Amino acid sequence: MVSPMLFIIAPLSAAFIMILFNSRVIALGLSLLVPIGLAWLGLSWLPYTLGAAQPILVASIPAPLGIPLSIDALGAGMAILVAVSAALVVLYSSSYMKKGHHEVRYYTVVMILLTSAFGLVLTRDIFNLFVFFEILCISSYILVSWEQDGAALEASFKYMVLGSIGSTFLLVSIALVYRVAGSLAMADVATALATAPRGYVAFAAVTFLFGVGVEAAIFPVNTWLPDAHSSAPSSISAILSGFVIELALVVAFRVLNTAFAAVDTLPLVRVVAIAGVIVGEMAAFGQKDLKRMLAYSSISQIGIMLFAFSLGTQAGAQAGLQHLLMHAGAKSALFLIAGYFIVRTGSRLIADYAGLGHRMPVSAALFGFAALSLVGAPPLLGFFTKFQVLSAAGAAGGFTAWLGVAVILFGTVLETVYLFRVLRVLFAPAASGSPARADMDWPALAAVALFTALVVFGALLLPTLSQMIGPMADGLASLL
Amino acid sequence: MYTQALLLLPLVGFGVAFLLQGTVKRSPAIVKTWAMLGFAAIAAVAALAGAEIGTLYEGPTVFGSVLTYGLTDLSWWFVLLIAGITALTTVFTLGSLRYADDYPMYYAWLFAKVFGMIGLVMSRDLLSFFIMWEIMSWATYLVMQQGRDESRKAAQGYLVYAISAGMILLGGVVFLRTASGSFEFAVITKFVAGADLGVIITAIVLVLVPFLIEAAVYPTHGWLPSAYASSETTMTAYLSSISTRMGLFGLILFVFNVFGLDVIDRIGISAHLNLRTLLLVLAALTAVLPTYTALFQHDAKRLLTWHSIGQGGYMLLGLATASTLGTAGGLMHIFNYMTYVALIIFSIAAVEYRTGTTNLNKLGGLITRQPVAFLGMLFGIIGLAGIPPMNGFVSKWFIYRSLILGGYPFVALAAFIATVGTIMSVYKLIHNTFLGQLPERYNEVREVGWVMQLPIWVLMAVVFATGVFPGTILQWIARIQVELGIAPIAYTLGGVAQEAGDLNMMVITLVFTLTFIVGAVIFFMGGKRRIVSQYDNYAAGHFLNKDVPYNFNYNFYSAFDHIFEKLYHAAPVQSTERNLGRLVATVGEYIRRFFTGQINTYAAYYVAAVIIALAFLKEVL
Repeated sequence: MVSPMLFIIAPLSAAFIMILFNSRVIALGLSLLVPIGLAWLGLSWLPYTLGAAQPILVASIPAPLGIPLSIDALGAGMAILVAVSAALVVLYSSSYMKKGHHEVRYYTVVMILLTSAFGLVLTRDIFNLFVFFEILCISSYILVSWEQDGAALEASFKYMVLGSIGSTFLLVSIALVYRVAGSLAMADVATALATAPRGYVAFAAVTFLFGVGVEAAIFPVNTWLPDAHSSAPSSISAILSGFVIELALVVAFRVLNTAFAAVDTLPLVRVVAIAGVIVGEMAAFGQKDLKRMLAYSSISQIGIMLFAFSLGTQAGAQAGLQHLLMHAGAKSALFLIAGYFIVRTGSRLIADYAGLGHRMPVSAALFGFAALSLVGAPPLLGFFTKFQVLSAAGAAGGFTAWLGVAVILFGTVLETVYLFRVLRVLFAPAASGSPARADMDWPALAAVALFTALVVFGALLLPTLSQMIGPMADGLASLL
Repeated sequence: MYTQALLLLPLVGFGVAFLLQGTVKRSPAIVKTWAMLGFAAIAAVAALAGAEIGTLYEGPTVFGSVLTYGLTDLSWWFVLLIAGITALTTVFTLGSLRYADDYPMYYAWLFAKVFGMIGLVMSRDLLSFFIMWEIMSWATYLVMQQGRDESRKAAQGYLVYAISAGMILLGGVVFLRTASGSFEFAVITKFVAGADLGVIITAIVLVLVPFLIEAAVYPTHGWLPSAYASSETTMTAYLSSISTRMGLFGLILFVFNVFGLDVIDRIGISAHLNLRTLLLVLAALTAVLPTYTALFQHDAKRLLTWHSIGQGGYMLLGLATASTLGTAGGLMHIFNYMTYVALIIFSIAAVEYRTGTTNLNKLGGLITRQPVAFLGMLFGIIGLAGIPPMNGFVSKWFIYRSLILGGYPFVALAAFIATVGTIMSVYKLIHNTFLGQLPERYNEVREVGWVMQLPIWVLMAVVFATGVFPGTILQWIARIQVELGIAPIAYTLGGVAQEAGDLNMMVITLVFTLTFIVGAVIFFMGGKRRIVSQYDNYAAGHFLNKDVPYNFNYNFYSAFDHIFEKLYHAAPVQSTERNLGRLVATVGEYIRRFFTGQINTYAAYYVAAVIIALAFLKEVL
């Protein structure tokens, strides 16, 4: 059995090797091979984790002195999702990123971002979590500013300031916890907090929620997101919207739900989630900038997932995770296609895409499918995941749960309207004659097609998926 | 086996038509042949499928419950209507559909829509009903958004309504599933029968409102006219004739079968002020207001789309009485309206095919150039206006009768008023298209080819035959009524035999024919007629010639328009709809301002978030 430590070691070493060789081919090759290998690694570990979480011994030092790591079904599942998404985005980047634009550095930073993403799902130490969280944030700042133009730099700067505030909150929370528990292992934290003063725990929990919540795009600390996700290169937007915020969400929710279980934060989380859904959809509704619209949509979709988690039931957790999978596929596809719309027209404004669907028919059609799945049109995957979120909410019952159902349904109407407004523009009659076909380059097209295939035919996977979704959902309430 | 085939054939048809779209502009014959074969096969299977009524076909398992499909008498009737009108429309499009315009996906979307509709009527559980409902809505959107930019815009309007309806219905599905624990209709029926009034009202509102929206019942009809009128003309015929009725299907299924009339009638203040009274009032408004709006339309297609709304009101009037005669009238009117509206729009499409316009201000005098289209429209509008001997008279007679007998005199009055409007507007339609002087530019217009004439002749025969022998249709209606738990109608071949007055269309037709013959005899024997040039004429004291043409066509009913102009433009529905859209946009804009772009406000949000969250958690206090 290959050690799951490779999840952290492999991308990190790949990053160093890339810098050493400074060759585009090696960088590209490594950043394709590493995620693919890690996806395979995750798959090979998955069966062992379905029964029970597998602790990992780091450097032969057991906790509390060593850093406790553990791979469970949730970790393996998220790792596979991250690895597969990353491999596809790298494939897309191979044709999307302009040649000679510091490509090696780009792939290096992506690898470092992957290191921290994998680290976040494996770690069971709250300070170690902080470290990986910082790495994730910093690599994100770099990637957001990649275009080096005014908007990108501004977005990155805002992101950095807000991320730092979040880190500070997180650090405050960790300090509070350490004072009580005397240990940073999450398991010890959970035991210690159970007997601590409840006001104290509540304060630590809230600072933790809004600290990690920055990266997880939880309302109202997600204000950096519309700028950052829209100004970043589209491949990076796909990474950030596709799995980074989801991953941060899962990690944040798991820790809150387990280590801070002494205080019932679920009602608070639910209110925050519902607010996120409605604010995201309403803000996206009037957007004229495609990527910004998609970014706001991510805010609301994160809200839907968080809402499902916050129901506190097994069904809710499962539904949330399935919706997460769907959103990862659909939003990545949408951002990646938007990237090529921008390449072809040189504009981010939807109004400038009139008739683009005739030039890029395949891309526009894939955009349509991904959008359909995102709004939950049957029989695409999005319908099944959204339906499960809604029925889990119905089963959980209570005023806020039904309020959430109503808000999600209303949000879906808005989402449909604004996404199909884009499609209407795309397929508007061509202004002059029939312009030459200029679809995406094939590596990009292949990557997008795979993402879209997931959200279109994903419903067929659901029976198979359900075997692993159950244990994964358990992971949200367990620290082993 | 036929049940599976009914679901599978449209899917296969869709797949192949989708793949064939690339060949459309080079050789349209391939995809047209495929569509014709496909829809003919569906019609044939639909006709045979009656043998399988009552058997259930189990589809895939979703969320632990099996999706079941099967035919009942009601759904078989609808399947026949769908398959029949689709086949006829396809025959017409073989001649009329030109690919100079941008309709490469016409048949693919049509197959998808047929799949959604057939699937919808065959669904035997709530989940598959919802899935098919959504597929149908999306397919309708796709069907509508083809072609010009105008249709795209109108389709977007439809999408807002359709998706709102879909989401309300989804809320209803989740609610009923949560409350009853099952998607099965039988379980839901049992659950609703024993549920609290609050639960019933919630379920009924969530489930029935989407159907009212899809059926374009006042005041949710705002989407229909633009969406239908800006579609390709054969598609207008198709959408008007069958698509809107899917909402009524849902209403019939849930009111009579799933919820049951007893449960529906529990909601209300008294025996005469209940949910059904509300439906009757809405239906009456639907019948009256859109019919008079139709008068002011200057486009033939748009004029008829308003009738699609109005005539839907008649259907709902009959159904909401829940009496034998009323439901028979409502159900029959669905069939009748389908036949004559398709007939009228095919005639319009034939005119449009030759003249390139449906603008009523520009047409006229085409009777000598396109006599078949004229006859088609004549038969159709006699049906639409509810005049014997066409089939529209029978169903309308049933509906009036049931309203009077059921003790709803004011509603009956509204129905009569609507009929006056109908007659006025269909006269405008036929006059402005076929009567009056022929504009010079249309001198060369010829009749359309036999392929396009065929559906017109077929529908003329149907409209007439089912008008003279309504028993042929009523035998189906009686079977459906038994299934819905209503006493079946005592039909005869010529109409209905009942204590409160018989109806025998054969006698009426005979009288009509004799009168017609007497009139014809007087006309021909009188020897007073003289055939003159169309310019050898006068009007209002003026001689008419090429330079001073007969101009009643232009702005027909302008006096009427003048009187009611203010009322029409104050149309509360359209402005409400616009204002709602504006409200969402404005509120959205305010909410978006939450994202100020200023780091200092964002930093303040952190602090505020922590403080509010702590206050929320209470444990701190």
